[in-house]
Amino acid sequence: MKILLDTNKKKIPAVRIDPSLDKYENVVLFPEKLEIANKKLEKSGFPLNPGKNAKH
Amino acid sequence: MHLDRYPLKAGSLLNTFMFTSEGKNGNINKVIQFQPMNIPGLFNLAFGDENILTGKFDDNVITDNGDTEKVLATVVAAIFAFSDYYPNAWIYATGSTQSRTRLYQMGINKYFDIAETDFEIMGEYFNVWEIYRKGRQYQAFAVHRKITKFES
Repeated sequence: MKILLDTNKKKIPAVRIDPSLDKYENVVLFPEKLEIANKKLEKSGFPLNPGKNAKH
Repeated sequence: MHLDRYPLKAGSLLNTFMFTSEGKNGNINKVIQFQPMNIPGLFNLAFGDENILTGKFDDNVITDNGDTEKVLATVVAAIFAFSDYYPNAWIYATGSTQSRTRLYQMGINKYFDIAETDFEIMGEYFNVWEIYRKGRQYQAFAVHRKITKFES
């Protein structure tokens, strides 16, 4: 393991990178919640354009 | 202002975080995941407990471990870490129940003065998005890291 971020001056917390969690990176752990959220957004839309330049 | 929080660990892409809640009901592993939504660049904040028997995660369980403040501060810390790695991302949050949405809102209100210096905060009020105002009872929230600009 390595410490990725430990920059209290930037208010960013120390986060320990744990490769054992990589197995979850492309797995939706809460699919029902994601489905509900997407349905809610279908009704309300989203006023901004967050996709621009965003990393996915 | 120092917020007491739990140590966080994350996967290499910093979209899944875990920590252990320590309280009156024992040690409980919790996971925070930022899930890509149908709108590119928007990530759903999901949060739940690990069931040690099944290894699965449950976002409907009521832990009641007596450490709500510390858990909320830890979730805030994960939001900082995620948004530092993905500064253009918007993070969407809504509770799995109305009471949990209110809990999120209480957390936002409590840390609003700190949060608004670093984040743009939006609230969804009956299908209409607006800049977050204290006192409104929102159904969902979205936050985005403010981009710091340095003047030469």
